[in-house]
Amino acid sequence: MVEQIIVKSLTEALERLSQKKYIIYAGGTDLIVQNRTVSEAPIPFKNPVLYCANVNELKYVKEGDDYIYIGAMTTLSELLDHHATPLLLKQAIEVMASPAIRNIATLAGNIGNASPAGDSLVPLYTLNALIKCQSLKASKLIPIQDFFVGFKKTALSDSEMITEVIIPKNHFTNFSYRKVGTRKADALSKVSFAGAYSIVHDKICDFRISLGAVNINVVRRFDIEAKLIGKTVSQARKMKDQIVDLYLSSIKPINDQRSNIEYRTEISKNLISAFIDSLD
Amino acid sequence: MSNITFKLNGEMVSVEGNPGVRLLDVLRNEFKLTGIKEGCGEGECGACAVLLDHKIVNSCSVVLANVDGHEIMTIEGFKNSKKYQIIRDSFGHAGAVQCGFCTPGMVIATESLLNENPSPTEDEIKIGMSGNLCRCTGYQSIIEAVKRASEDGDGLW
Repeated sequence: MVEQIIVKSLTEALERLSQKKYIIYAGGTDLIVQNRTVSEAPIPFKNPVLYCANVNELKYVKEGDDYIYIGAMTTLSELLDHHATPLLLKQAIEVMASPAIRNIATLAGNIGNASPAGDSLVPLYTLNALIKCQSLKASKLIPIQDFFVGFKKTALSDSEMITEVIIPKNHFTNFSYRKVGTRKADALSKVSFAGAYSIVHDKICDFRISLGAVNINVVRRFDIEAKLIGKTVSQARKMKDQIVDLYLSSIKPINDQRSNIEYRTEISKNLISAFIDSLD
Repeated sequence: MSNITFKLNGEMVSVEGNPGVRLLDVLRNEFKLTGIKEGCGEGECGACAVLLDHKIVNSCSVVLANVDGHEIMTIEGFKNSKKYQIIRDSFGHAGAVQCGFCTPGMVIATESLLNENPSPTEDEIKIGMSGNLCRCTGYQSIIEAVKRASEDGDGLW
């Protein structure tokens, strides 16, 4: 049996992490499914485990003037219930798993799990979220698109844990979250989408699209977005085919048990087209 | 090995053992609370649902480590309450029980939903029960049962 430690304070967790590599276990709803073998057997973890769900000092949502601060052990249900949680993120959480899972699963856990189909990641990319990675000695803030560095790979080092997710307060003219899955509850995404824009005096001054489950990490293309900044709505609509093609060239969907390349490509195209049509 | 202490159906209990065992197995094997069932084993069917600090969780998806210091209520503990009687009767009247495998989970989901929202709309009921699968009755009678429990238990939740 590997070493398994229950920690109750952040300092204790960081001290442990400074000594050796642990699996950081929060709600564990992904880890338990990924590591279980047979019924009734203890979960046969391959590395030492640090159980952090009871680190109460990391359970909070705080609202500042410009940012929302979410503690790493905050559950998805707590985020749904909190008035300061951005609506775009709430729309994604509402269709993640089921109430029973949302009552234990954490936002930071969804980030740490680093699945290409992690549903909360898509709105977090669109919202320009920052991930706070803390070790015993230091902490750093990493923009979410730099946090994911490959298939299921993150920039987190062995001595660090995610302690906070920081979301800038955004004011959009409109935003939209869409998840395409087999059923409404308890389904993993075939494709997920989070778009937002702002229009001032008929000119687009902010335009953001993030797509999930169509590449090894969530796709957000600042260079494509920049092409629409400063354009009028009618100019943007005329550019629709060009924009859609640029996005399609940056996705690499796969065939798996949930969907296939053709379907994921077609759905991505339709979601982006519909979003550009909705500019108003 | 760890010593994990939590409140189970109103009584403080301690378990000495591997913190990486599933709460489901601890409840069924150590405490012989067999009302909960293992269905899918991966948090998708709700047959193993219990209340953790009054909120529904799937006991197959919770490790023992994470319940340290918390409160767990299973269907066996809940059955002594007036709320349980209301839910039991409403499930009976609505014909919402057939084989019974999913029923303890459905009852726990009903309790968790009504705790949070004593007068849910039909859509809110569907969301509240969305993590619990039933393969016998179809869901309409279950939705009816929850609606009826909410009406009959007026003031209790």
